[in-house]
Amino acid sequence: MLVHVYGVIGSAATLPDDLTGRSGRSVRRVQDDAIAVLVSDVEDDARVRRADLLAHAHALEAVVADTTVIPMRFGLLMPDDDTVRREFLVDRRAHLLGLLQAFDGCYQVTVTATYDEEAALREVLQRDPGLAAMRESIDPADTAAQLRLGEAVGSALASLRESAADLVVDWFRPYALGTSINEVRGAYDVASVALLVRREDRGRVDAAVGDLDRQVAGQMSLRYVGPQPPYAFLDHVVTEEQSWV
Amino acid sequence: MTVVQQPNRYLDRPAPSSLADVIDTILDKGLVIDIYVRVSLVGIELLTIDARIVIASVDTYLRFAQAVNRLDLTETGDSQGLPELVGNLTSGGAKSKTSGAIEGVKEKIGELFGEDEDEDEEDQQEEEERRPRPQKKAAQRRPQKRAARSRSQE
Repeated sequence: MLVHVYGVIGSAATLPDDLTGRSGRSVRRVQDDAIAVLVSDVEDDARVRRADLLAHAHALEAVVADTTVIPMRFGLLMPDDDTVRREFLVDRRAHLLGLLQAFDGCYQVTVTATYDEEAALREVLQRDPGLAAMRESIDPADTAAQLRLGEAVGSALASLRESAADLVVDWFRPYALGTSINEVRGAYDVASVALLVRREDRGRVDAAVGDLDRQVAGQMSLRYVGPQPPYAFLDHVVTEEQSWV
Repeated sequence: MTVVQQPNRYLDRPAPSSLADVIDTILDKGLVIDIYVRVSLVGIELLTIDARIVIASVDTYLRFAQAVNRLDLTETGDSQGLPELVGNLTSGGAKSKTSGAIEGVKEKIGELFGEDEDEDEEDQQEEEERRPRPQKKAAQRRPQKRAARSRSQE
C-alpha cells in the first residue's frame, strides 16, 4: 500500500487526537529520535479528488496550530514506510533538521483584500477629477469614447490597487517575520499576502487583522486564512545545493 | 493567551483553507521529491488558467465604463478614503523589505477541477481532463501602464 506524505515535524511534538487525512485514514508518524514524517495509507489506485487536496491542507493546518511543520507539496506518494525512512530520515535528515529549526515556533497566515467595486470606482473618480469630468462629458452611445473611459478607469484602478496593496503589506510588517505577496488576478483584488508569524504572537496578529478589517470596512473585504505551514517561505531557505530534485 | 476579542462582525480569527486557497496558493508550494510525485498526478491536470479578469481587454474596459456610468455620485460615500487610511498607518515601522520572492510562480496557476464546486467529483474530473488548456498568460500590468503614460502626455 502506498503512503501519502503530508509533512515533517519534530518527533518530540504531539499530534492532535484523531488526526485524519486522505479518505478519512489516520495520519501516522514514521519517525526516528528527531524527525517524524506524517503519512497516511493510500490505495494504490486511488484517484485524487478535491476532498484529498483539502484533507492534505487541513491535516497540516491542524498540526501547525501547535507545532512547527515543514509541508510537502501535495501529491508526494511513496511505496512504503521503508522508503519514507530512507528518503527522509536518512538521506535528507540534516536538511530537514535545518528547516525545522529555521521555522521553529512559526506558522503562516494569509490575508487577502478585495475592493468593493462601487467603493473602488468612487475612489478613483474622487482622486481624479479629470476622470469624473470625462464620465460626464462623453456620449454613452459612443463606443470608442466609452472604451477610452474604461481604459482610463482601468489604469486608475491599477494604481489604486497598488497603493492599497502597499497599505495592507505595511499594516502587517510589525507582526511578520516575513511577508510574501501572492499575485492577484481580479480587477478588484487588492492583495494577497502570506505572513510568517510567531506562534506566541497569534493574539496580536488576529487583532491586527480585525483592526484592518474595521479600518477598511465598506471599502474592502478581507479574508484571513490560517494557521498554515510556511508554504510561501520555504523557497527562502531552500538553497540550490539543498534542492531535492 | 490573554488577548480578549470582542465579539463583532469583523474578522478576529483565521479560517481553514478553502479549496480555492489550496489551488491558488498552496498547490505549487511545499517540499517535493520529484520522482515520487509523478504517481499521484494521474487524474490531475495542471492548467495554466486564464486570469479571471483579463484586465486589459476591450470587454473589461467597456464593463468599467458601464460601471462608472451607473455610479450615482450624488450619494455621499460614508466610507473613509484611502488617503486618510494611509495617514492612520504611519505608526507601523517598516523594518524589513518585503520578501515577496514568488516571481512569476503565479503565472502558472494550478487548476484542478475548474471553479465549479459541485459535488460530483468523478464526473467533474473526467470533464476537466478533456477540456482544452487555456494558455493565456497575464501580462496585464504593462498595457495599463502604457495607457497611463499616454494619457498623461495628452
